Amino acid sequence: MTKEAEAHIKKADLVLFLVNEPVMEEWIIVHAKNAQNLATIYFSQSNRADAYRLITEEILLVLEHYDFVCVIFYGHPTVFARPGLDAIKKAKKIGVETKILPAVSAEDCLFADLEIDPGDCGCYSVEATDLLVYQRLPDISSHLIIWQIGMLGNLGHESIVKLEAMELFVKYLLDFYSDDHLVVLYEASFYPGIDCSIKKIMLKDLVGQRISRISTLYIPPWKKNKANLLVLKKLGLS
Amino acid sequence: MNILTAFEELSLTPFCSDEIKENFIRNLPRDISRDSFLKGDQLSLRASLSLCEPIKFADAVDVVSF
Repeated sequence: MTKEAEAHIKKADLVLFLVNEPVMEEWIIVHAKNAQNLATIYFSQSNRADAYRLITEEILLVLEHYDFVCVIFYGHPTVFARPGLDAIKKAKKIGVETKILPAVSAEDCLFADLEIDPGDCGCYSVEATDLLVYQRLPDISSHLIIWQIGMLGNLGHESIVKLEAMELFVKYLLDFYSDDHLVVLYEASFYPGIDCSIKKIMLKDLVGQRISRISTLYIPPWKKNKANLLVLKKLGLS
Repeated sequence: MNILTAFEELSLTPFCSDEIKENFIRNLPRDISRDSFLKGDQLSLRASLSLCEPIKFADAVDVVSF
């Protein structure tokens, strides 16, 4: 957490929060003037999209009663945190001054823990179900980061990876990658000093793996692209 | 030592010892598993694995003193 974020939390009239571990929850409760846990709303709906809609409505509702509201989501506040972004957009429309403070996402942790630089050959970041449903085309010469692999085909809260869904998912990826391509099931650490989880497996062995809600699938580049000589020449780089 | 103090010690000690990590884990709230998603087995498992690998989930429960 940045010093700037800390200051916002301490100064806000009301802090709404949705966090994924107990220490941050404790910290918020101790340091905020007034704190309210959004987990109650989140778990009140079996469909996550409905829960997000209700959270957005709650944020807009409390704005009617408090001058300075701070909303906290675990990870980065606009990365896989739809209700915050929706609330910000709607609040702006009714003239409320808003500010989003960036934070560390699971992807940022992945770059550090797997020692990856997205700048070296590009990086495609996509949600697992979205990749499959919309048949997104991965660039096999770039890093591929697939979020929420543990929630594949699952719109609810339960952490159940359906076998059929995973088989379909792997079959799709095998259209692009070789079955023995080494991929990584990654889980960022919640706390400093505590190790992350890095499990390297072959793509074909993904089905049947223990995959959690916080797992991210990383697929390294498989083939290198060749530079286009004509473009290089036009850019004066040859 | 409460959990926030233990967390501060963990955060402010680069390359900290297993003793500091263990102290932090032992101070985690007892009701850490009350929600299946946000406060589920991932946390205890993750924290415990890093200290005592290999470990089964049942052992991880003991480590955080539910």
